[in-house]
Amino acid sequence: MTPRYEPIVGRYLHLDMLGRPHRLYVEEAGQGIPLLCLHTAGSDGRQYRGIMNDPRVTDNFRVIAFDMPWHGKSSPPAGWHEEEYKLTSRDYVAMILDVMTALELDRPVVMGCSIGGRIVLHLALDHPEKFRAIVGLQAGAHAEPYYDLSYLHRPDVHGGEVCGALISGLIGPNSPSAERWETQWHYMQGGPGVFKGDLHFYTRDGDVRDRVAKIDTTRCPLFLLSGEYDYSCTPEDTMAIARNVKGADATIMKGMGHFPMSEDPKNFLEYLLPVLDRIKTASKQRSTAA
Amino acid sequence: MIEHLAERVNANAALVRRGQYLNTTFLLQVGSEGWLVTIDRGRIASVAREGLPLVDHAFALRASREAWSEFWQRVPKPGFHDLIALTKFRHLKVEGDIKLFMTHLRYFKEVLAQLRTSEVSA
Repeated sequence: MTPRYEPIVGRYLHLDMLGRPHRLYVEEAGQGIPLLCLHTAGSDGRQYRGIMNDPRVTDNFRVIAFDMPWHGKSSPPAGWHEEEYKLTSRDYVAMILDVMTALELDRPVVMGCSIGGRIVLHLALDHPEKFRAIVGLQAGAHAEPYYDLSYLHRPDVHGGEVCGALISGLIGPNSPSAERWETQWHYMQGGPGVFKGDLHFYTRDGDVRDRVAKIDTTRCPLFLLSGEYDYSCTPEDTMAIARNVKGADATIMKGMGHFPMSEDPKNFLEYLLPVLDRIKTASKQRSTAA
Repeated sequence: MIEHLAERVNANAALVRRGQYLNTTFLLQVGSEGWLVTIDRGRIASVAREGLPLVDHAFALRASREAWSEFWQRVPKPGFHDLIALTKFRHLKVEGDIKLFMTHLRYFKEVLAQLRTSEVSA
């Protein structure tokens, strides 16, 4: 193989966030409409490697993914060693808006998966004017835990092994082996208690069942893409949003699981590209009209 | 079919290595029939029909014949493709030492998947 670099560039961003200084790792590729990507619980921005490496996306979109604090190559804030990490809706929204301001993103498209798919519903409800379009991957209004979450963080069970093993079945059965295991590796690498802390948002704090029907897609279009094999956010969870939100555009992706962009980027792009095309066209019409 | 478990697992060196710190016996219940699977440092030492009404095992995996049969398809239907998926939808009950099961979750998932028509890693 001839050695080559990918077009992805990663840098460390220093910013004040949630009242404290943070050092965040941010990757981006491409140019055009900003597309801000949010990774799943307990993982990091590497999940979007397939999107960032596809010229069909990067010719028209500036794809950006940041590792949330505590995740990937972002640091936890100073003092973390005395804290229990617990993600809340309020902090998650603030973090996304702070990153957008720091990067001076003008009405980006935001695309999030799982916890990211949940928080984009909060953004659709509370900040629709800040986004050109919202894409929820594996998005549901709520998720009940289906195992004792304390297994994710206890000294007598290996956190990396159990996190990887717990999410393995959320990957579609026909995903290419290399992408499947890359997806699990990210989970195996997570810091102690971080996946569990994210699930506090996913299973408790981030519940929007009582508000989701109020999403107004005339203020910001909402696209939902969910994998058929996901038993964490099930196709039924996504279709429930589609039934309750007028104008929401939902598609169930055949054979895919909970991490579409990471477990099978090639297949996922067949579903994502038409959505991005529609966003691009609407964006052009808007700028022509303005 | 269950009897093939030992030869399939023991022929898989990587899987045996992943279980190298595991010595236990668990009960695999398929409908009304039970098998006691004994593991010795990752190798399946024996797979025996549950003979006595009172036998020792660390934990039991209990599901209907139909649920296991779907799980053991080459590409199972959604919800039947993974042990944790089976538990979430209440097709599978895991009873006993859950901590042992969770500690070695990848090993147990892969051991049970060895009985698939053509094994895919789960």
